[in-house]
Order: sequence, then C-alpha cells, then structure tokens
Amino acid sequence: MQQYILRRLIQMAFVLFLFSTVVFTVLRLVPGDPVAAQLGLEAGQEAYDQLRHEMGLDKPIYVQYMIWLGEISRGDFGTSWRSHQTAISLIQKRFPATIWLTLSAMTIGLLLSVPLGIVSGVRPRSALAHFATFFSLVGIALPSFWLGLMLLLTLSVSLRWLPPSGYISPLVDPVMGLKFLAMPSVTLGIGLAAPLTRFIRSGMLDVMNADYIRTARAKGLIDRLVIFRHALKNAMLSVVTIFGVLLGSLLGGSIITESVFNWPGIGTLLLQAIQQRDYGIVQGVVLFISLIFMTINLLVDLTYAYIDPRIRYQ
Amino acid sequence: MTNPNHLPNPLSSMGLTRRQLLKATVGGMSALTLLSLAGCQPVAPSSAPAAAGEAPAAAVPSTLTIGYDLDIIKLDPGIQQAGVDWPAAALVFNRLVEYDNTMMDPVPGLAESWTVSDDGLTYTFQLRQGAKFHSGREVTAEDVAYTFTRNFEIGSQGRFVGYMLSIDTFEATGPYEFVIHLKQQDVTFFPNLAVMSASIVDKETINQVDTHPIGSGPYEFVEWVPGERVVYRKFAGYWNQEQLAQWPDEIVTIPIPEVQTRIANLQSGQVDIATSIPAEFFEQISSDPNLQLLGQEVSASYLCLIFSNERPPFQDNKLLRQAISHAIDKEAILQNVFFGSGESQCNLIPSNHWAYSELDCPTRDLDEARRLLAESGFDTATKITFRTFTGQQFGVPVAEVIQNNLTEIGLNVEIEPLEWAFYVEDAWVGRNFEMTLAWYGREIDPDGLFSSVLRKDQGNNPMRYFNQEVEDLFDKGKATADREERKKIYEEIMNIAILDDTALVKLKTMEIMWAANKKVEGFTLMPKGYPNFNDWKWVG
Repeated sequence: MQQYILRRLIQMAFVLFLFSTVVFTVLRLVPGDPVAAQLGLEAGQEAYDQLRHEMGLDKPIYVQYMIWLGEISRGDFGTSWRSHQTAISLIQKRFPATIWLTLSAMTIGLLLSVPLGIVSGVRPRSALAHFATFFSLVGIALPSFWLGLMLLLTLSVSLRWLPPSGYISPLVDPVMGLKFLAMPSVTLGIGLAAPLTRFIRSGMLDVMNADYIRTARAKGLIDRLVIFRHALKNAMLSVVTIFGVLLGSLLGGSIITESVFNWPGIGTLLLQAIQQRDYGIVQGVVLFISLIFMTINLLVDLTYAYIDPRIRYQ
Repeated sequence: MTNPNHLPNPLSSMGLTRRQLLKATVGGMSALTLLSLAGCQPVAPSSAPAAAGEAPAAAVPSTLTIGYDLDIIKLDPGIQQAGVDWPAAALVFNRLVEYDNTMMDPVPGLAESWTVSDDGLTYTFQLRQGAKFHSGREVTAEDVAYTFTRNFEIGSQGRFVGYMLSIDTFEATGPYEFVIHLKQQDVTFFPNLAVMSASIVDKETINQVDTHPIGSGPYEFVEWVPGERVVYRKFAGYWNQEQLAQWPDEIVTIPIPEVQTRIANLQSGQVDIATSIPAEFFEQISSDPNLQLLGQEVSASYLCLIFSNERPPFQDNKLLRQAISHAIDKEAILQNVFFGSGESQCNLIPSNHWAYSELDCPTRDLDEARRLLAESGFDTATKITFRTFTGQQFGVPVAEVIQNNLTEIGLNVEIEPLEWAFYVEDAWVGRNFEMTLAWYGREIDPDGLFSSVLRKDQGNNPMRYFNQEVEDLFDKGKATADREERKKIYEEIMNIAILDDTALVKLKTMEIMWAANKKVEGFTLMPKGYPNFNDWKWVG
C-alpha cells in the first residue's frame, strides 16, 4: 500500500512536470500578446518593445522556459505582471472562498441526489422516481449561467432577501457568510445533483437485480439493511468516480458561477489572468488545479479499496 | 473484522482497518480545510459588519462603493494607461491643474494660479502653499520638477511624453513657482497638464509608488487586493477642506465584470455606482426612482469602420471605400445594436462640441453605392475579410449589420471575430486587417480627438492613412488659438479625410453611461468617460 502511494506520488510529480511544460508552451502559442493586453490600443510601438523586454518576452521561448524552470525549482510559481503579487499568495487568498463554495455546493448536491437516486433506483416506477428523472434532466440542461442570473434577479433584486454578490468567510461572520454563499452554492449544487442522481439511480438499478441482493432478501433481511448495507455500497463505485471528478472541478474553481456572483475564488482568478494574458498567474493556477485533480484522483482510487475489498493496490 | 470474500485486506498492510483509514482521511481533510478557511478575509462590498462587541461609534464611516467593470491595472501614475486606473490617480494625487467637466478648461489644482507670456511660449505657475503629501511633507515646485523629469525618463512606456511634445524646458524657479517653456505655440498643451500621467508624485516615497502610492490628493491609498477591491481613505490634511467635507470617509472600488451582477448590486444597494452600463439597460435604470444615470456633457469616444491602406482591396481604391460608406445603414446599427442611444452623424466631432460643424454626410443610398462599386473596378467575387472584436457586446452585432448591408450591394464579406487581446496584438498593433472595427476613446480637444487617428504613422492610425494636406491642416490647427478659426480648419480636415478620402466611416458617437443610487449628487463623466471626482457631493 505504501509502495502504491509512493509510486503514485512519483507519477504525480512526473505528470505535473509534463503538464507544466505543456501549459507553458501552449500559453505562448495561444494568440494574444500579454504586452498588448496590458498596454491597450493607444500605446506606441516603442512602449510595446520596452515592455516586452521588461517582461522577458523578447527572449527565445526555450530561454524563457529555462528561466521559468529555475524559478519553479526555487518554489516561485510565478508573479503577476499587473499587481506584482505572487501566484501562491493570490491562490492562498482565493482558495478559501472556493473551498467554502465547494463544500456547500457538495452538501446541497448530495442532500438532493442521494435520496432521489436511491428511491428512484429502488422503486423505479414510483412518482418520486419520475420526479428524479425529470429533475436530473432539467438540472443537466439548465445552464448554470442562466440559473444563477434568475436566482440573482428574483432573490436579490426583486425580493431583496440576499446580497447579489460578494464574499465573507462564514467563520468571520456566519450570518452574512451564509447569505453570500446561498445563491452560488444552490446554483452549483443543482448542477451537481443532476448528474449524481442519474449515476446513483443507474448504479442502484443494476445492483438491485443482482443475485446477492436476492440472496440477502431470501435470508430475510429487512429492506433498509438490504438497500444500505448491500446495495448502496456496491452501487457507489461508479458514483465515487464521478463524484471525484466533480469535486476536482469544483475545487479548481467554477468560472461561470463565480463570475455571475463575483465570487473571489480560483475560477475568477484564472479567468481574469487569462483575459489579461498574465502568464505567471495562469501557469501557477493551472498547476495548482492539476495538483488538486491528481490528489483527488488518488483519494478516489484509495476509496475504491474501502468500498470494494476485492480491489487491492500492490 | 472478517472479510466476507476471504481476500486479504489491502489496508491491513498499513496496520489500519478500512474504516480507520477513511476516518483518518476525512479528519485530515477537514482539519486542513478548516485551517485554510480560518485564514480568509472578508471582501463583502460595503456590508462588512462591525466586529462583535465593538462599541457603536458616534458616526459610522461613510463609504462610497463603486462597482467597476474591470480591476485596476497600475498604481504608478507615470505608467498608467487605462481609464480603469483613473480613480487611483485622481483620488490619491493632484496635478498642477485639474479637469473640468468638459476637459477643455482646466481648474486650479496644486497650482493656485498661472500666467502665460504674450508669445504663448512661457507658462508660470504659482503653487498653493500648505498642500501636503499623505506623508505629511509639503509639496513644492521641486516635486513638480521631479515628476516632470521622472516622466521624461519613463519615456514611451508612459503617456506623459506624448502629451508634452511641445515642452522645451521646465524648472522650479522658487519653492512655489514652476515655469514651463514651449518650443512652439500649442493650444492643446495646457489642458494636458491634467492628465493621469501628470500626477505630482512624492520623490521620497517613489520606490513604493507601484504598490502603495503616496500623493497629495483628497484620499489616501489604503490597499489593493487584486480582483477584489481597492480602498481609499479620506486624507484629513487635504488642502481643500471645503470640498473634502462634502465627500465620504472612504471610497472603495470593486471589480464586478459581469454587467447583470453589477446592476443587481446597484439595485440592491451593495454598490452606490455601477460603471459602464450598456444601452439596453438605460430604460430599466431611468424608470427606477432610486437610481440615476450618470452621463457626459460631451463624448470623446466614437466607433468607426476603418480600412487598411497597406493591402488590397482598400489600398488605393477610394471608390470602393465610398461605396461602402453609402451602403452602411447607420440608423439600423444605432437602433438595433445600441437601442437608439447616441448619434450617427459622420463628423468625428460630436454635435455638442464647440468645434462641430455640419457636414454633407453620405446617406444610405444603395444605387449610388452600386454605381461607385462598379466604377471602382473591384471584383465582387473576391472575399473581403472583416475582423472585429469580441468581449465588447456590440463588436459582432455591429459587424453583422454591416455584413448584411454590404451583401445588398453584392459584396462578399466574411466576419472574423477576434478575442480582445489577440485583436489588439494582431489586427491593431500588427495592422493585419482589410477592414475592422475601431473604438476610439480620445482627448476632447479636436486635435487630440482625431490627430492620432488620421496623421501619418500615429498609434491610432493602423490604417496607415496619409494625406499631406491633412498633415498641414493639423499643424495649423494646433498653432491657432481662436476657436472659430480652428473650427474651420477641422471642418476642412473632415471634408478631405472623411468625406472625400473616406479613410474611415464613423458609425456613431459612443456615450459612456454609468448608473448610481441617490446617495451621490452632481456626479458626471468627463468626455473620456472618466468620472469627475472634483465636482460632486455625497448625500448618503
């Protein structure tokens, strides 16, 4: 087991390195000059040349790459050309907001999807099952942008129940913090619950017809035990996979939802950096997001071993 | 614990049961999460509550919150380029003179008074005594001289040099006297002393000017949290106490790029001012009794269709350009894309500007357009590429209307939308286009309004338009003080460059509109779309 984890960690480091190289190269191949993005329309050619020189962009790409590798090996993941703040400090400032949003969206997503998924898997012909199918279809089809805007217009503009945007940590001010969290996390939570409901439902449907469930029932086990101990756990394997992917993408920042609610998370940080061609920040944030994804992937794989004891890592 | 499948438990090699491992994982993650969450700072717009247990203060500090469409870019006024940086420059710093609402007749700033020599070449400024930097040190003529020297050293990376081309020498002739000598008469020079880059900086704290600027303006810089907020606090030692008393204790700008969210914040009172309101929201805002639209007396911004003179098909084909100018339905653009706001006359000078004169603008006339097109000899089977920009809501819709119009006269136009940064790099700086949209936001003096657009090799002339006659007229206009005389000169330039040469087609004057609640009074935008922070009142 330790060996497996160690091997995975080494793999992660290697993938991270490869990935960083790709990000570095692709950023420089993408059209759109960071100098132009900074100076805008009305600066002269001389100003462009000078700024390009200051940013080190007049050097060949491989030289820029070596310089960047050197910086990374010293723990410097890049600095903003705009604000002169480091990528790490910006991520540190933004990540808590993203974690809060992820946690609350996950909570909402699970509270909705687990009961709906189980019921519609166990009793596929019930009214609730039909509702669950309808809900997950609508939830998947609804663009989060639209849902977010509708919530914004009704709950904060018309009814004035909630502030339209902003963020404060619920640990600093629980009431305001939760008010700020409410709309973005419902928006994300519904988007999350929809696919999860479908996965849980189909997982349960598969399992409910399996022999061991019939056996469990034949042994005279009560329904609750059959469903929760025998069926749900086995149905969860595919759900955990999709859950891991969704969790990773949430922690990597939800660009659209964060934009609508002006949520100061990782997503808007990345979006702004891309628009401004702030290479240092884009590289830092992308590396950070990929690190999160890989870590969650590893955790998901380890969770398999818990859910399905037949899976072994040697 | 027995294993039902009699398979070895993989976790037992670590000496853990599965349950223990899961608990440990969940526990560890929660601890990490809590640790990082505890480090958060509040960024709530103007609603951060007072700390628990704090005694209620006699007066809660008043805060004006502005929801901006963008985050600021630079704090150092020497290299600031963009309009979003204006609050930082305007609030933290003073200039020798400050803009009035029209940006054409400056009012006293750090200079209390000034005289101009009879030949118009020497400007002598008397500085006010007792004006202080936020560090407490008095502002003297030496600081003005230092600022000018620094800006000339910054050179082309900033905007100052471009504005001050006429300066020959400058010097501090006393602690409160500053003199500027010009090389030649230049009527555009004086108002330019109020530009962002002419902000008077503090020599002693210059090393922190790009992170924590210190100036002599009405507000001190407190902090900039990128992407979240910039905070300014009233400077108690400001020289104009009368003005200061009308303003709130704090001004906070928050970037809210999404326009719907920005307006929702205004409607629900989270921000007091929302910037850059698109025309489709004007009616909604003006019908709300709690809100007001903030506009300009006159606008220095306009939208054009420009043609490249460096490549076919528009190079050396005036008739083709004229055909296009007759085919475009500007009224349709105005009504359908801009909801009827603005004016579409062809003069680059807006109709409420002193230098405006009515021109014989080309009207939409498809027969005339087809005639000109036939005469131009252009093969209509050839595809014309029309590059436009995304990111501004109107970029693609305007191009689509024009594409339709041109199809009507038999032209084959393909739209190529470009992301903003790439548009600037490739189409604008790289001058790689046949025809493209250009959105200008210029100075309000007629020379500043379009000389850099129509003069040879200037930064705003990616068309590479050149006409010697026009060059001479620009020179003449700059050296003429009488406004009636100047007006005639610019009318002639329009007749040559816009009506005859058809270097470009002006589509419309662009009004810049903001919206506010009723806590601000008398707040206006200047011709460039910058807010006038000098002339307003806080009534919150």
